[in-house]
Amino acid sequence: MKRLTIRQRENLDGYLFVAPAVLFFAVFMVYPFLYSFYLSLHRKTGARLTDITFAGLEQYGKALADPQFFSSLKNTAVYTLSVVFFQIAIGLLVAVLLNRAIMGKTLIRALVFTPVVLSTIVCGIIWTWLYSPDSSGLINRALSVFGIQPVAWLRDPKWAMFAIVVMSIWKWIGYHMVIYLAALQGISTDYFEAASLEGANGLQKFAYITFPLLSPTTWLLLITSIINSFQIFDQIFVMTKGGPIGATNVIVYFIYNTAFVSFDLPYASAIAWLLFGVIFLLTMVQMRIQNRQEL
Amino acid sequence: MKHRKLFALLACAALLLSATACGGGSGSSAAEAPAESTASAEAAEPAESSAEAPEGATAITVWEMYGPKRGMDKITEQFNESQDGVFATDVFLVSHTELMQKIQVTAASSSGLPDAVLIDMFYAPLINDLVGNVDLKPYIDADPTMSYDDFYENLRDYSMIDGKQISIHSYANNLILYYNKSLFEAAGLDPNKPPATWDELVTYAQALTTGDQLGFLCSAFYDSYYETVSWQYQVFVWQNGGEMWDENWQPAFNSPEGIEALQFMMDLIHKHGVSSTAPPENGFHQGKVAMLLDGTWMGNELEEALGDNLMAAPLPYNKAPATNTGGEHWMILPSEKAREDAAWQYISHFLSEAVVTEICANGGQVPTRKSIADSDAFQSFANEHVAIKTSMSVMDSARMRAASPNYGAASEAMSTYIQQALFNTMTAEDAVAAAAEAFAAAINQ
Repeated sequence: MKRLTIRQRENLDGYLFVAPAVLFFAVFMVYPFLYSFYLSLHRKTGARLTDITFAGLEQYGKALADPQFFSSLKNTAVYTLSVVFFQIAIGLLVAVLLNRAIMGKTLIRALVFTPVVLSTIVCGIIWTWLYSPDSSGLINRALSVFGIQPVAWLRDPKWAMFAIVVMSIWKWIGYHMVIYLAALQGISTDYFEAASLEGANGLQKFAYITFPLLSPTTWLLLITSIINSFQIFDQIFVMTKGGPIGATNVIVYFIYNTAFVSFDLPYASAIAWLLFGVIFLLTMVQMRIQNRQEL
Repeated sequence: MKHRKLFALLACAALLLSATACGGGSGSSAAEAPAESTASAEAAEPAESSAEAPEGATAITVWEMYGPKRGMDKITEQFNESQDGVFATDVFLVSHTELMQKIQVTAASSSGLPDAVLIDMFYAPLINDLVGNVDLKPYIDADPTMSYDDFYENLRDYSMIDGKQISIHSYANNLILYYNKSLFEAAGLDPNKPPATWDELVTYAQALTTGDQLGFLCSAFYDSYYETVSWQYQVFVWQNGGEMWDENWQPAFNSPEGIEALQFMMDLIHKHGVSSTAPPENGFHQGKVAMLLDGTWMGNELEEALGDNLMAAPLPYNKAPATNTGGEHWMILPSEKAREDAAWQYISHFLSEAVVTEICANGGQVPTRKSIADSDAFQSFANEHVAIKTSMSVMDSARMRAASPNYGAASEAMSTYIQQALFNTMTAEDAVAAAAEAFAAAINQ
């Protein structure tokens, strides 16, 4: 039997080390990913999940003619646009404020970051109480001080998405703050000293030094936030269940309902792949813009 | 370089998408069926008793959603201790939806199915379609502790499919009218004369609506869960002399009666202003809602909140008295004969007078066997609980949902349009027409 060379043995060791991770990734990520595509090309023919027959692109056609698909996509877009903008803007503002030598900044940073480590389910339950529709809800009670009538935050189609957006912004500001703080600390103070010598004020320093140098971080946050926002689910599941009258029925909740309440896996898979296409396109566009800016 | 970037992007997106798929199921699930629509979320992981089966005993597994809160674990323990031949392991799942998901997945893999299941009645035809439930009629006939005729006829007929008793009601509930005695008195209304007709319901509700107090409420007006909306609308259609479906489960509610029923529900909110799609949280508990259309299972909770002020009555109607039946069904899933027999022994224990009485007391339910309902012990218990007493009195007018495997999907499809009408974004005519079309498409799939 031929003996392995040292290099081959080293390679084998390397493969053995990565094998568990690769196996896990293959079984729990790659296989479901590909299987969902296979499912999306089928049609349900019976009550069992396995009762399916090949139907080509039928499910995709069904989705593109389904008003619920488009309304859930619209709801997701509204959520994403609102959440991403405010998360990044407020996260940056908080990071800049907490990057200064102020008293208790470590404590404030920890407090701002706390919601990030809390379970979304727990946050959802807490905010459901806060949003209680009558005057027993803390938010309505606070508003009543100013003579504002109680608002049925989660039960009024006009307000439900707004309420979810506010909760989501609160939940993720800390994450954006931490990333921005790390980036801010990587900016050399030489730039600011030079700008001071030239007579630049604080706002000018921010506009011409800080913000441009944070551009790669902003792009990173923009891409990850958009991807994450498109996949919002937990808040909706806990707080509104897609209601009232579909006002918060976002795309992943729609997929969940189709797959695990209506048990129509082929249709749910097709919608998931359409979502994948949307996210992929958006990310491509963002990367193109970023690349152009870098050039 | 370009390709590598594209590949990296694809891999990244795939990873995120897969993560969503995995993450989606991990959220704790709030109980959703009508029988539990107001219950709070409980532990997400199934609870399972840890004791081991004694040697020689037939081990069976039971999946249920009634839970330890209502004494299922203790009753199972009592059963295991009461005999040596069967050892049951009780697995509690937090909601009907979660239980149904588990059954779907295990039915697809054809292994790991439980021996007995307790689930919301409307899932029974679907589970039968999935696995072919064991016929319970021979077991009931052979059981010396009960007789087939002792079960209420409408209850047992619901799950008699193709000559096979695919499941049997463990306990039942229905929709009744709860009302607050002191709010009635404050409005100058006689609490011993609750509204009996739709006209009276409107008149009473108008008298009871003051400031931030609502005269009337039913959860269909604000609950997003499809079955809550659907099964409450059904009651209004029947009360108006209409029919929901024909004998082949084809929709029959796109009729003047069906439209009028929805219009009446809408009018309560938008014309008479006596109800709301955004009511105060637990408004009836707090005395901010005077009359509440809700299920028997709410009785205990409402008694605790209102004490002697809680009163209950049959639902007011327009042309015919009607309510809708709920409750959970026992079923045996096919396996070896010995395990099927053991599963029946377990179910039989749960249908015994002592256990039924305990379950009804814990969860606010009514018995499904006439002998238990008529017994002195249960009658005296019911006399102390207005919800139980009222629900028992309306069993004759209690209607059933469509016993079709596709009922859940059809109910979900129709509820979307009913909800839109209740929020005044569709007319009653358009909503009923669209709901009937969606119902037909789903029930016939």
